[in-house]
Amino acid sequence: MAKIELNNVVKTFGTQHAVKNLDMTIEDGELLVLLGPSGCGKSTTMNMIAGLTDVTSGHILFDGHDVTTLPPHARNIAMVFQSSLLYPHLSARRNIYMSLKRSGLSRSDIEARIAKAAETVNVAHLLDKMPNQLSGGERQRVATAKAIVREPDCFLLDEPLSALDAALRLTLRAELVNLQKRIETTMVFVTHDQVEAMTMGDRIGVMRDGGLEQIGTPTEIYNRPETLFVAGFVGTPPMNFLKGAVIDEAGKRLFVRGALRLPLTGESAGTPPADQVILAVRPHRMTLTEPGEQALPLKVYAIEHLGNETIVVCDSDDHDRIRIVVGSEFAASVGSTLYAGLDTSHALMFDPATERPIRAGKREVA
Amino acid sequence: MTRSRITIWLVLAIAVALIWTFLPMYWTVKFAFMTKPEISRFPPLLFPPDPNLASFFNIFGSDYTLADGTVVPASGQARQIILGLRNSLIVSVVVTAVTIFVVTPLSYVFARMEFPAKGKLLAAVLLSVSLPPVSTLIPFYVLYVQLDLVGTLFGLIIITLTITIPIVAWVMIGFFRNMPPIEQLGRIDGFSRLYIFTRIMVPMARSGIMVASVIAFLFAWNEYVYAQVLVTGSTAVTLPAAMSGFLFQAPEPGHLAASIFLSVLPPFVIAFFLQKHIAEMNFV
Repeated sequence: MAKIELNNVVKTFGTQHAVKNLDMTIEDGELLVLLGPSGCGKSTTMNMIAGLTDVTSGHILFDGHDVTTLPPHARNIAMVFQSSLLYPHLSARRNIYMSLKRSGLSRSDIEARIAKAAETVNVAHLLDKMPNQLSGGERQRVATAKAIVREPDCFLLDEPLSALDAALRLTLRAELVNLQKRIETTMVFVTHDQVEAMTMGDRIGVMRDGGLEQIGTPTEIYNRPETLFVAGFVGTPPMNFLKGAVIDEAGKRLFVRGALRLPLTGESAGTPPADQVILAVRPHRMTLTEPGEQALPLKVYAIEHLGNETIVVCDSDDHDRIRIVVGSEFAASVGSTLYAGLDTSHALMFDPATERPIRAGKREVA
Repeated sequence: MTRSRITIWLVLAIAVALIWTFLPMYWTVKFAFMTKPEISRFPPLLFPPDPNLASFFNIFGSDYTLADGTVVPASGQARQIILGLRNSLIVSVVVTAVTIFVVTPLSYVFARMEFPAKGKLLAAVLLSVSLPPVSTLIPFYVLYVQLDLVGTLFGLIIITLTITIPIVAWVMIGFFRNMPPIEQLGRIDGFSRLYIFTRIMVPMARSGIMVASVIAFLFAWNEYVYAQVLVTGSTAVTLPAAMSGFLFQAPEPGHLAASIFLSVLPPFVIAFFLQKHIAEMNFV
């Protein structure tokens, strides 16, 4: 068990900043997902927590103890690598054993631990197989057994599921979360898949260009994104962005864009008038409606049928891609025009200059 | 093009390649099993009419009595051939062992570690691959005369290493580069760099090392240019150099063919038994 703190951690490779002034606390027993596009610094961050990569400046604390200069094995962590990396020339049992080889435990203790770990992730019957005889899912389970056998303070998982097919990923995702809750060990999970992040994380840290954009529970990240990037990155299909202005007219606050005039309701009604705003709205908060000044004219670009619902992908008048979730019975031809209304009480307003949300009453400064 | 036409072309291409390789080989090797009058017959015979092993006995210094009672005398080159066979084996085995011992850590370091001037050093190692041996022959010869290394196995081994090390390093660096990031796994498990290299990377690289050994062995076994200049006529003569001696004797195509047969045997045997590893190289 460990609480992990990163204090002002910086990593540079030559002149390139891989991680910039990162402050983050991972609570004891928590499953934190680091989410971001490739090259955002999430794997570097994890390697620094593991001790595989040296920190350029800043400190990493485990339960208040500074471990910044300790080598990986002195930190009592376990790591599962991309594609569930195993020693290819050793059997599953030997692979798990390698985790404890330097532990100083007696032979019988090691045997017992291996048996227990194999039992926990259900790989006892695979122990004498070689990695290349195992399926993707089995490899992943053996890699997990190799990690838990050490009974570490913290698990670090670097995109372990990325090489697996979708169905298997779904199964193993649930298995990992279940395991983490059973053994109550701190876990850091790196992924670029926002669905994986949303479904697994107690909290999610969204990273971009070496910095932390936002850290919070999946609900917070989804409902209250703190940057335009987070708003666009999290959620399937992604959020729609509409450029426009906010004005006061006849005592009502309106979002204006071309001929579109939308009265602002709910929280968005507190948005102060501004020449340039970005209105962000989830695709399922938009509806098809009749032409009028409260309707946005769109051209159908593509239609994606998902069975229980359909996503209409459209081009707006200034060529922004807008997605709308509609009923499964929807039909239209590509290129045809339709009109969309939206529920402004569920819309978020962003300042295009700072990419931060504009909250009721005040304009936040980044 | 239809599927069947592609197949026809493929079969043709393979057939041409096989004929290209094996026909000259066969033509030479069949001489080893024929008598001198049979060889000089015109039009040439496609198969040895009455295969015999006379040439093989002759090149090892024994007379051979044919079925009809004719005695074929031993070759005057016999001593050189026997010495050459022995020396070629010694040189090839030693060169292979030293090459692998040097190149395995060298290529691991170049493939998987970062250090200053790495690119330039690597270029220096690999540059010698592109130098034709003849270009370094004269400086080496002058040096060897002064060091008294002409006509010694030791000298020949050193000079052969200058060929094998860069070529094998070239192959092995690529091989190590393609291996998964096992070092990180090893470091998490608490192993030292040395342990990770000797106990994890080297066993994992078994196929690559095997193929590298074959390459080193074949280059050493086939090396002719340096041997011709440095050891011909001495007790350190190697098989290719000894065989070239036939050129200066009364023509004995049977003896020449028999020694060629001996000299191509090891490459064939090796290639046959290591097929699996050679194919595996591509997948690791």
